[in-house]
Amino acid sequence: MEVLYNVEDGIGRITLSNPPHNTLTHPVFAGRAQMKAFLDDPSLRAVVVRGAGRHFCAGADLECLGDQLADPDAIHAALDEGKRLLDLFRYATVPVIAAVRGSCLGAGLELALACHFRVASAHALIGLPETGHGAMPGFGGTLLAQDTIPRAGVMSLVLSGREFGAEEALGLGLVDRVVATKDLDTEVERFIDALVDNRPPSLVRAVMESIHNADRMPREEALQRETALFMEVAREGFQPDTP
Amino acid sequence: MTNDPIQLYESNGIARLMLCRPPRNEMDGAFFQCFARFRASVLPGLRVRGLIVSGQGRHFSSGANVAELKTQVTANEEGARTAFLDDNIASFDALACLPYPVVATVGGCCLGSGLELALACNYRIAARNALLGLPEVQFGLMPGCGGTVRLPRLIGRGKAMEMILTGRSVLADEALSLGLVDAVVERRALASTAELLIDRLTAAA
Repeated sequence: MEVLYNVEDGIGRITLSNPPHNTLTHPVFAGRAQMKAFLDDPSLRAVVVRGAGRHFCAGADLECLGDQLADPDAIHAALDEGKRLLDLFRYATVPVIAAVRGSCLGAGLELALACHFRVASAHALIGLPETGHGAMPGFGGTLLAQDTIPRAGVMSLVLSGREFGAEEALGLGLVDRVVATKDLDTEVERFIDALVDNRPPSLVRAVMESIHNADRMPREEALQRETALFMEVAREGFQPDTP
Repeated sequence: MTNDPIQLYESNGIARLMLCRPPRNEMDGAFFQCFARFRASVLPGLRVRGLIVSGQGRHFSSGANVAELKTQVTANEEGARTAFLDDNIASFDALACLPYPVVATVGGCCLGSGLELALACNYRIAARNALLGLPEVQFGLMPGCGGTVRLPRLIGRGKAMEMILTGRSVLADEALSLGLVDAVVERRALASTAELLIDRLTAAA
């Protein structure tokens, strides 16, 4: 699978490409250094993760996975490494939006859940079907889903192995917005504008970093770090009157 | 009855902490100094089964005095700049660690550090007209009293990101569906609902 990077008007786009369904042929689906450098680009105000063509990502390529399981230690390490890649999305200091068209299943949904937001097209198909194949989500899904939907919802999502339509996924909280398929790209841009338009990039990065600390630091440390970030932000720019 | 910006009453074993600068109950330097005194000398001695935090008048609190805040953050003395913020955070944090339920009753505006105070409580009960938000980004600031830590832990990181980055406020019903508040009641029922909640929580104790 290829991963394509592109920046236009301050929006970074990461495109997963393995037509037609953009299945992941390996858990380490991208080069870590390149991904990190891309996400750290100070000119970015947001990042969009998308699939080439008509689908987001239908999950792991099961044939490849079958072959890879012949070397369990290697695939074990690869899954851990792949999850660290997903952490780059999760802890990116600009908003990361998954633009979900078509199939978003298994590892594909796990990848989308590592993003901060998910905007889905009306015909998207979303789920974690691994249990139907006698497997379980191995790319962080059982944990990442808990950030977006309550634990009981995660249990039924995973154990049922059901594939949900976009509207039902919206009701569950798996996606944040559902839009007409033809409007997906423009609606994602509108979503981004609503979040970061007119905000200084340093302010967005400070807010994002502090929010991330809420789940990766103990409370006291996160609170102290928030103070430090607040001071940096306040020093930089401060208009007492609302525009 | 003192003229302090924060006043404490006790009745029926429940303490009531009231913000007393109506209508906006703005959190200025005097407020935070008073809170620090309260935290140090009053809170440790309280023998109550619950604490209700509310604002006098129409609103809970409109948040910090932004102009005063600017003066403090741009002050030149090393250490003094962050000390006041750490103090504010410690004050709110003190409410989060008490051995009895702490319930915020929220009518009207509950914005910025006002919401951060409510977030430090264990429960939030809102009146139907309540308006809650962290609008700091609209002033070129970010929440500095625990909002970026407490809000995601309460409503989830995605929803918190959206609220804090946009700085938007939500009405009571949306706050309820987000999990930002635990109940929405008629304004006149705020105090009794909070008392009933404390009674139910402490009944077996």
